[in-house]
Formats: sequence, structure tokens, C-alpha cells
Amino acid sequence: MRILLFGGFLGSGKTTTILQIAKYITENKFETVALIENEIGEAGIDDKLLADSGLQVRPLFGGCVCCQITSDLITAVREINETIKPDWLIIEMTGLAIPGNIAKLINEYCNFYTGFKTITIVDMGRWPELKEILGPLVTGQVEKTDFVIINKADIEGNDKAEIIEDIKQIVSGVPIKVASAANKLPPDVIEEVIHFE
Amino acid sequence: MNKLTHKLKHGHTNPITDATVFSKSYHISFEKPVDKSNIEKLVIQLIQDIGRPLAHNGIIVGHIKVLAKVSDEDFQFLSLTRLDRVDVKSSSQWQTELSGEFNSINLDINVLVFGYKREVIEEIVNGSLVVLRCFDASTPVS
Repeated sequence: MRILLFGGFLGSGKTTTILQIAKYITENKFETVALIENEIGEAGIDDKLLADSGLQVRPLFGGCVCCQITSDLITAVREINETIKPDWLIIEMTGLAIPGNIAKLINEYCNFYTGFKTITIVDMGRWPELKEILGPLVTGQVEKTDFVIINKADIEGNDKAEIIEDIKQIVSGVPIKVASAANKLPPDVIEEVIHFE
Repeated sequence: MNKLTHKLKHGHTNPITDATVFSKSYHISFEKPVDKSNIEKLVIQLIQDIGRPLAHNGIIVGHIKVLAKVSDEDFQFLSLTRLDRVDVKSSSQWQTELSGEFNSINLDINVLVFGYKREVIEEIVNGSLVVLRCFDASTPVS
């Protein structure tokens, strides 16, 4: 089972991106995908959207905003590995989680995977404001990740080159792709996300 | 659990606790039956009305999500992160069965923002819901 762990600030486009990647894997690779959806709030919304696309979704609701992961997630990953045994497990973290921190726990407690990658989605349109207001959180989401998708590139208004450069300063040595998931992710970006050596 | 209890229970403080989560489900009855086209317009107006007072320079520092359901499989999902753009996604059933009118809808509203108290958010949400509760199908939605 290969694991893709998606992080990125609230509303950055994680669910939209995941939907396309999961669909691509099932339709083009003919492999199975299970999904863990970690949402904040009692009324789950994203899980319904994902389930409507025919994906098997395991929702994890956390009323607690600050604790980014509980033993529930580790239990869910183990359970899916033992029962459903999908080819891929996609985990969508809450928009307040730092993927690098969660990766440590996955590596420690779920190292039965055959491949593991963290992907951070950055909302290009809000990056300058979010960095100004919530600098440590949004830079923390980017700095320890294996892959960055700078999303919502179709939104006008900001200096795109400056934002891309800013992200490159935070995270170096990992692929950075600019895209607009709402308009459809290019297949080469998806291929790169799901590529393992 | 309030912030203080939370800190005591978890034994730490974190700037992320400054985020406020408002998550609530509503059942809205219309005075007269409303079709899907008008429901969509109303819910777009609703999410914008909620977002306007919570925005910072036109952007939401967090997110606002609304799930508007006429049935479990027949729904629209709306997301707002900036005032000039509402993302709308429809369930497969919503797209294939556009006809019909509805006496009520169920709404799941999830607001997660920084810098506002829960009571303030609730007041904004309740105020914004008035447009749906008092909707008159004979008046076009802008």
C-alpha cells in the first residue's frame, strides 16, 4: 500500500486535487484507492463530496483544532491496511495540520507502506496574506514536504513569480508545480505526484 | 470544550487555538416551494453574506463551507476562501435531476476562521439565513 498524505491551509484545494488524483489512479492505473478524510467540525462536508465520487471514505472528525493528529489516524491507517488492503491510501489532513509532523508519526507507526509521500497544496491567491497573518503555520506546512502544488494559479492579482520564488526559498530540493486544480490538473502533474522510485 | 479547558486538558498552548470552529446543521423550510436554480442562487448569496463580515482584505483567513442538501444524494457543496469567488460543486444527482421544487433544504455550515469569537460567527450565520427563511419565489434572486 502506497500512502499519499495531503496537507495545506484551509480552502487551498486539497479535496479538489485529491478527487482528481484518486480518479486518475482508478481509471488509468486500474488500482484501488481508499481515503481518510480528517475534518474539523461536527458536520462533515468534504467526506460527502468525496463519497459521491464513488470513493471509499473513512471520515475522522476532530473537534480539537490544535492537536493535529490523534491515535485515531494511526488506527485508521492500520485498519485499512489490514482489512481493505487498497493499492493506495490517500489521507487528507485538516487545513491546520503540518504534514511534516504527521509524516514522522506515519513513519514511526505505519512503516508497512511500500511508498509514502507528503504533498502540500498552497493557495497562490491568498499566500501573501496568509503568510503575513499565519506565517509559522503556512510556512511550516510547506517546509517539510516531498511535493508542492501551488494551486489556484488562475486567480489574478498577485505577482506569481514572486510567490513561486518565495515558496522555493522555504522548501528546496522538492518538485514544485503550479496548477489550477479547479480547471483540472494536468496528467503530468498527477503522474509526478503518484510516481515512486 | 472552551480554550481554557482545552489548554488544561492538553497541557499546552498553541497559536492555532486562535482559530474558531463553527459547525452546525440547519433545516430550512421555505414559505413556498423553490427550484434548484433558485436554491443555488440563495446558497451562493448565503455563503457570501457569511463571508463578507469575516473577510480580511477580501480573503477569508480560514474557510467557509456549506453543504446544501435536498436529499442525502442530492446536494451542492460551496466553498468560500475569497469574496470574489465562490466554488460550487454539485453531486451527480443534482446535475442529472434538475427539475422539481422543494419545500425545505438541509444545510451543513462549517466556518473556520481566525480572529472571531464563536458567538459573533453564529450571529452572522443566523442573520444570513434570514434570506432563505423569508425567500419569496416570486422575487428574482440577484
